[in-house]
Amino acid sequence: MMRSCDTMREDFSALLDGELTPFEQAEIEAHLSECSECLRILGGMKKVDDLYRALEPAVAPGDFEERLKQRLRPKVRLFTGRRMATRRIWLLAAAGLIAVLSLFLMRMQTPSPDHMQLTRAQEPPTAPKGGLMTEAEMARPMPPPPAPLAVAEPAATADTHTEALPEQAAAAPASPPRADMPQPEVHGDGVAMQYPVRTSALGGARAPQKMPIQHVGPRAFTLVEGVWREEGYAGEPATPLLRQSEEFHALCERHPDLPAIAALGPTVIFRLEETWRQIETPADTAGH
Amino acid sequence: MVLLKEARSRSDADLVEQCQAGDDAAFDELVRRYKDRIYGVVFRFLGNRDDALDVAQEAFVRAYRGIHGYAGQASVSTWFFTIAANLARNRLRDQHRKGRDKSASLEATADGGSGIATTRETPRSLAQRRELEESLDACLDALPEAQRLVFVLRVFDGLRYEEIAACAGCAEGTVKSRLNQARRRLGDCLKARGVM
Ligand SMILES: [Zn+2]
Repeated sequence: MMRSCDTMREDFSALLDGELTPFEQAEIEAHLSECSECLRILGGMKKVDDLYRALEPAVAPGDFEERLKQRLRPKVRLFTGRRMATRRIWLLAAAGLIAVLSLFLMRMQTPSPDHMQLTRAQEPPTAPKGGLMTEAEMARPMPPPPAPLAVAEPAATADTHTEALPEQAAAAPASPPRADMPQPEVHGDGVAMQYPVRTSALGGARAPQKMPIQHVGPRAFTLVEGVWREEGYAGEPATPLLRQSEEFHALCERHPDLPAIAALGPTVIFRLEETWRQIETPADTAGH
Repeated sequence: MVLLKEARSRSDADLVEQCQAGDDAAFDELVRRYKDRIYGVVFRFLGNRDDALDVAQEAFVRAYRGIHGYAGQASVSTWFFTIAANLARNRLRDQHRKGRDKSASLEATADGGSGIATTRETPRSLAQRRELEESLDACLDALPEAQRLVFVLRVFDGLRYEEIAACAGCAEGTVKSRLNQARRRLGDCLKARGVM
């Protein structure tokens, strides 16, 4: 029985893509030899392919691997001997930074209950024997931040992160997971929300000398005179952005990296495309 | 250098196995092999370089973290593409949910602008592309997400239907019909713009 033009056309893509059996292909080709309308339609589809294939190939930026390595295995290793393969590596780095700082301060015989508490609270989950951190490890909830320090960081940290991180959504496969194939894992953890950073309490000015560079995602920050500056900043005017301001909260909603950037220290200068912004702590909480 | 050459002669599956045994260099080699392909399709799908970079990187991060869960059921490339496709689709939905332009990022709010302000940030227009490229981009953008995904996987990377089906989480027959619809829709769109 001859197939209609409509059913023939359903197979045109498969014909172009070489996904038909020889029999199906022969059948369609026979039809095309005597149906100019189908031939025209097929020609149009072929033309679409040709136009798109003629586009210059999009290749990964030259620093793709370097950026990825930094994401997978940051050079700033605060917990040497452990491989912590996680997108949240910088979170742990921030925790480690604070821990090191606390120890340093304690050694300087200026013990502070806050700092000690902080050190314990921000101990990162222990990496499993295999080196890679499992989801269970990642999901192990971190202790809540100590109350005395909570004032230093706005509620923004907890509130905005829950909603703001697209990775949370990205982790859930859009389609039902196939049994035969590993899928991106679903994170119900929310552990990433608990940024173990209270740097506004500890201060950029007192940040350790040995660690002048921090990374947040692909961005690199250097500590200069108590101010964390994003790479490329050369003293241009920077528009202030107050923590706890409405604008700050709105930006956190839209930009998942912002809380981590803000957590680098009391004052952070970073780039929003062509604009430099300076994150500042409102005067009434800066001293806490 | 010798090690590098050695790595390049290994199969994907070997590299995964070595990575599972703790050899990070093996994973680096996998990244070298697939970064352009992954980035390329994600970029065509999202239409935005910043997002494409972020999603492509995240795909490798997920793969690295989940490397012990990979047991060779699918090819390594299909596995990478599946992760990337899921992340890219979710990125797109996230953007839609926020009701923002594809290039949505901080600057629109920072500049106090509306959605229009983001126009200047759209990489597609930023570089003053030729009219043809803009039409191609616009028509691709206008495709429904599911059709766009199969189209970019097929046309920009040449994946087979079986592989596309695995990445998209649908049947091969669905891949075929989506590709058919995508091509016809793109044809109509390009004709309307005087490109075809
Ligand atoms: Zn016909």
